[in-house]
Amino acid sequence: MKALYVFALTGDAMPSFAVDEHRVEFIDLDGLHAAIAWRTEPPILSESSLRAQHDIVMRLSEHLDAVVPARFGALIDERELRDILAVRRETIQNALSLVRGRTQMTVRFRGAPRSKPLSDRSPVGTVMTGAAYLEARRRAARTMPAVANVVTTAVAELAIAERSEAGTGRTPAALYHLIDRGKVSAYVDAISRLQLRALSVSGPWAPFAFAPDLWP
Amino acid sequence: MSRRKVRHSTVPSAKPANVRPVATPLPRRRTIPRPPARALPRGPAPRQEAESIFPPSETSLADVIDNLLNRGVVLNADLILALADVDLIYVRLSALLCAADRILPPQR
Repeated sequence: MKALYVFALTGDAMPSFAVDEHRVEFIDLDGLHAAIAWRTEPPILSESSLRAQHDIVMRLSEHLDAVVPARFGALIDERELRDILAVRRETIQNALSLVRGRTQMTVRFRGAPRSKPLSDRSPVGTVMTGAAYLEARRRAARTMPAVANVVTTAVAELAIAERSEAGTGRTPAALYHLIDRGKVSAYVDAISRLQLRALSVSGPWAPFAFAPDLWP
Repeated sequence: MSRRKVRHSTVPSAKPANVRPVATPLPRRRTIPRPPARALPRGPAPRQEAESIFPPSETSLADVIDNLLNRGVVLNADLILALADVDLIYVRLSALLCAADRILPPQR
């Protein structure tokens, strides 16, 4: 039995197209649209399937003003999708309004930031529980590099929204900015003027980092 | 016994390689035969080599993974419990795999 494999929710529809073996179609969801493919099972997590989905979402973003990408592996019945939208419609419409005519830029900071020192002693007279200790360790380990504030300030006039992901030691810290589509060059120039070698900028991307959770 | 110091650094030296610092001459010592050469463990690669290891296409893959998997993946599964070839219970499982702090609101 075939179900909907959802690539993204969009404000408008466009003619269906094909990428590899995926034929991307649009269904109308009472004013919203979903870019979907009819499938019997979700794709296997692999580099090729990730690239295929990424290409599809990027193509949607190139042709449509407002695109909210869905999570990888989102296979769902049409009735379930309509039920979810009935509950999450306002959130999704707000997200579509936020990303309309805008694109995402990503800044990654090379090198793991140093963890903040964590005192191994509790304040006198208190006892630190195991959970509290682990929470303190987690807070200390997940830190944004100091240079992130410099980047935020440099692009403050261009960024409509910002989201940050602290580094974990294995993964670099990252800043995600939502900017107007016509301001990509200005954004890159603003960061280039900082002359910081410890970061890399990529984009423009579909607003992956600014998509709300479609599945509550 | 003197030991040769091997430096591994990604920072380019400020001095030309053929310039040695001036040092006070030491009295000559008896020559000690060098031990047979051993393979030293490789230190961190210089920056230029490291960049050549990661071609642009790999960077693109990092972006793909970051963009698509940063907020988790949805796993779907069908579970059928049967007894004597009779299907009794059907469970359709749709699970979200994601780091908790990516979807839960930050604690104040």
